[in-house]
Amino acid sequence: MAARPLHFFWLADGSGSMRVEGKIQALNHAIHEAIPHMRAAALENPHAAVFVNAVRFADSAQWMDDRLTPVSEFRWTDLEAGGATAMGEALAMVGEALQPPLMNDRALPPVLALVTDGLPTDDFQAGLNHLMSKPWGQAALRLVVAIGEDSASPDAQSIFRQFIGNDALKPFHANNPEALAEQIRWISTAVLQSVSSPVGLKAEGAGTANWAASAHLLTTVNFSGPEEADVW
Amino acid sequence: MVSPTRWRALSASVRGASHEKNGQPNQDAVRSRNPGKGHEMLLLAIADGHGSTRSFRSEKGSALAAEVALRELAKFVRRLGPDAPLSKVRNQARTRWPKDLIAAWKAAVRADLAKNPFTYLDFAAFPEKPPVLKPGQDLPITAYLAYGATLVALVITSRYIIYSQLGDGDILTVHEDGKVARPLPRKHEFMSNQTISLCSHYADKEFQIRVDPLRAGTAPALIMLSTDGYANCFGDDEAFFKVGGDFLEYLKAEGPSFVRDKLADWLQQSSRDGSGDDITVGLAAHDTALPPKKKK
Repeated sequence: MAARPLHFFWLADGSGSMRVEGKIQALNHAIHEAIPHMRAAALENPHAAVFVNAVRFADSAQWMDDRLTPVSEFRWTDLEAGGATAMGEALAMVGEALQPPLMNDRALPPVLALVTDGLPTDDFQAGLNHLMSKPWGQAALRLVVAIGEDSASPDAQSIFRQFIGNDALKPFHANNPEALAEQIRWISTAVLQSVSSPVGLKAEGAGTANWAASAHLLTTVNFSGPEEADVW
Repeated sequence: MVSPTRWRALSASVRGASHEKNGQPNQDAVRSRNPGKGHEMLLLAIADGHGSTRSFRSEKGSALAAEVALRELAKFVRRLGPDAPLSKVRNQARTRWPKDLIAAWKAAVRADLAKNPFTYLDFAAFPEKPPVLKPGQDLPITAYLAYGATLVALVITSRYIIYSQLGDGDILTVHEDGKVARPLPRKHEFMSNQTISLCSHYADKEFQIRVDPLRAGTAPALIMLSTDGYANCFGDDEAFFKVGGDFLEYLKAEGPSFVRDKLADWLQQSSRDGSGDDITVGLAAHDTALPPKKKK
């Protein structure tokens, strides 16, 4: 017997703008803090084997871990901010990974969590097209944590909508470290549990985002943190 | 020609380990009918209710699907008659049978709705009002989606086998020599729990159908139908195929009563250690796969 593999990828912005007002420290802290909760959430469902990895993108995109890492062994390596925002390259790398042998028929839909404070500086569209050219890229639950005011701009929102590819799902928006930590923890636990459960995942049509009903409830939760704490 | 009375069906359906934990019912269903006097065919159907938020009556929808499939398959075979050329059987199985089945399932859903209309509470989480049955009008897809289910069905007559599938699920054939195969290819677009089903638009065009002549020497000894919760317990097809061979071995060595008694326990164990999903298995065994009957 085998548990069904579930791949969870952080796509983390390590560009220069993330250095401003401690955003990168807040991101590092939020993910460090969320990992034990993520492990606990994964243990709750023994029918899914959760693997975690991350892509850091700045001038270029790089995998954090060079191997398949079970959630129990995943360690977050603190990111340092600097450089441009090669988001398109990160998407293309993930698209490349979401193929056999990593992905097989038994896999659960992967989760791609994009955490960024702004706009890509490379060819985002080419990267997204590459990701979406892969069946598992299309099947993935794609979420966005948008950090700071710049990420609320119409251009940024348009990019996020394209990445999410589902009108029912909205990007999370974090304006302070507390909100960021809560959103990261939410994605690491509630969203992970929802996707990893065989209950309530069946869809009425192939090619549609099958988790939309439950994910909508999960991603419309408001984590704005205290208003006076807005720093970004 | 192989006498259909030499085939026997057995089945089990178990609630998934995750469903037990979350208080959800078993949303799979299975129905079977062994050949007998005046009923010269074996019929077997399994259905898997979606179980999603939108498919809140899929437990009922899968039961209706399995029941309707048995009834409609029997009608279909009888209408063709005992001597219909195989080419005609194939043609009708691909064109007429899916349409008949979907129409019958939708009629069964409407009949159920007439008895148990949707309430406002049923649709409290959705933007639209609960669909209501109106004379002369079809229901919107959201009404059928509430009952959404996939279907895998099989009929074995004296002359042919019809394999039929809509959506995810698996059919394996196991031969005497141990060879295990899929009579219908596994559709890779059904990965990650996405599937076509009885409530889908153009569902009749999405059926996978295969008709094989039934000849002694080439017919499988065992045919296994299962919902996707079973295959998802195994790391790959190689491991999954092995279970087909194991069932044949158990049937030969221990007999159908032993397998029938143990099947639910085996499936429950698989769900606990594997997918966590509901699991349903239907087996159609030829008597060459069964131990010889003891003389009285």
